[in-house]
Amino acid sequence: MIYFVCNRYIMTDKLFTCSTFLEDKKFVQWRLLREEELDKYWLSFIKENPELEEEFNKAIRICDKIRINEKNFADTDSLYQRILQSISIHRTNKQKRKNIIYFLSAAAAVMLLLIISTVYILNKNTVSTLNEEIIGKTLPDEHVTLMTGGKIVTLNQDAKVRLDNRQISYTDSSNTTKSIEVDNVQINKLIVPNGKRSSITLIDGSEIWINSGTEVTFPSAFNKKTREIYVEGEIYINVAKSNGRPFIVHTPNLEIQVFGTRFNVSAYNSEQTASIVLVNGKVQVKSAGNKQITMNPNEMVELLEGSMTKKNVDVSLYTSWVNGVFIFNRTPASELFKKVGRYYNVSFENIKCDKWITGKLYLSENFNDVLSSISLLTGKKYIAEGNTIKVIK
Amino acid sequence: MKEKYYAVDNFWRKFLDGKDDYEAFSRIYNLYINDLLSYGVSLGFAEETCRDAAHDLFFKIFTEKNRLSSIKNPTSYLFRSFRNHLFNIQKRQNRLSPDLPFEKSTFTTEITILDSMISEEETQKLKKIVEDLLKELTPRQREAIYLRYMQEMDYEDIAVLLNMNVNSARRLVSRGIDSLRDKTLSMGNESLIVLIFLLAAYIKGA
Repeated sequence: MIYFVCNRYIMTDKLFTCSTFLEDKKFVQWRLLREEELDKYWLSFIKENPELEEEFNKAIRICDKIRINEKNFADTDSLYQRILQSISIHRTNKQKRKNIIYFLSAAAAVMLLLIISTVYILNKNTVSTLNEEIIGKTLPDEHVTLMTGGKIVTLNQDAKVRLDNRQISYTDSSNTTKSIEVDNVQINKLIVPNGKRSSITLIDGSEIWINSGTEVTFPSAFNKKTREIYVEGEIYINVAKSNGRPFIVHTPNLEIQVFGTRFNVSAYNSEQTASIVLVNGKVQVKSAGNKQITMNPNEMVELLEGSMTKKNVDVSLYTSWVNGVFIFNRTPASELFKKVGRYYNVSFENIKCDKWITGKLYLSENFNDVLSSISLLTGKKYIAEGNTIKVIK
Repeated sequence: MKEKYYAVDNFWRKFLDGKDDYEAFSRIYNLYINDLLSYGVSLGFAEETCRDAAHDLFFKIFTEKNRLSSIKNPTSYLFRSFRNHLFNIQKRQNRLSPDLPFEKSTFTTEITILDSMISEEETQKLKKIVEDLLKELTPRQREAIYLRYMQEMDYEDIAVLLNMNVNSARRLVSRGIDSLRDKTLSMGNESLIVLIFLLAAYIKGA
């Protein structure tokens, strides 16, 4: 090894630069293979020739830029798309196979049921009256009801419904938390009548606050491609992110496609207008006439007689009901009566008031408190007779 | 290079832990696709075959994720699995047309030096040195050195990939070094003469 060191010393008489190292096969070989044996050699070399250290380090840096077979290929993106496509085809096939198995087992189950019920009817013809009674009983429409897999469940006021894997949990009218088993293909419906509210957490973690007089239809599990629900009425929704799987809210006249966001949808069948107010994120609204509008935060899209208009709004005015408050800002009194009426399931009779209202209305449990607040806001006095509100001059 | 290993480790774990983590999956793909394709081409496969093998590899990674939990080094896994996919495709093709030569043993290397610190002329000179060094080696030695230098794989993984025991893999690289060393020694004859001359002078002087 010494001969090399001597060699270097001779070279130092000439100009000694990093190229001297780079032209040295032994040096390049060391950088390429990083073998321990070579490490020892070169480290002791530089220890003995400290004045060369700068050029030595520079040569190391240059050698580290040596690349073997480093190439960039064109169209790696299209290859990636091809891979994604194969994955998605593979999955739908798998799903199809699952569905066939499900269908077959469902068919088997139906057959089994038929046989059992035939036997049951043949043998015990007398007891079935009790069952008929329960099925035939009409539910009072002022309750929040959950319809799932042929079951109809009455829920508590302000019930929180939660979907987990294969089960729905909720607080029922006797204020205890219960759960029902569901299967993944099942479609469920939550009906919230006037005067009641509810909320639901969907299987993907999306949260929906449901205002009075609203029906929400939702599946027990979403499919792999999209998440879709149907709404008639008013909801405030906080959509959970899910790897670019779009969330679509269908209303009677609109389709709202969501990319992870919070917004309010108001689409009552009884009203001529439907509106969407976007708090956060981005959504795309499609009307029945296939017109499309992309919305940004703090915007409202209104649908009136088939045409959509977009404007900037103060979102708190439209979403405050979620927190138990109505906020009004130069809102016509008629609007207030409509909203309050729906919220408490009361009707304001023959009230003419062309005032514009500005202020907050706390949606208290005690309707009389609410009524006195309305008095302050509108400057009129009211009395409640059952579900009808009359004005006292 | 180190950042790349840190990154792939990170995304690999994220991908395995998550549910359908397309983000992490695409990052792993982007970090490795060029290296894998180029590796396949070096082994003598047609680019189209390499693309098919990469397709099969990443498809399997996504759809058979549960099988990957025991993998310690994602880089080694990617290269090993990619190599297997390549040879599987070749086997299939050979069955269809048996005239094709089977298992060509080749490993071509292409050197690039991305640096503006030295002149074009010097860059070319350095490139030539590296090319000459690699030319002296067998294809398997070149492949082992590529995996060691470019992919920083350890000998255990190289051994598994090249289907040999660890010592053989170690020897493969060091034999590569030996043959390089022999070459440098023969080139170093001049220096040896100088040394002897100097040594003689030194002894005389003493």
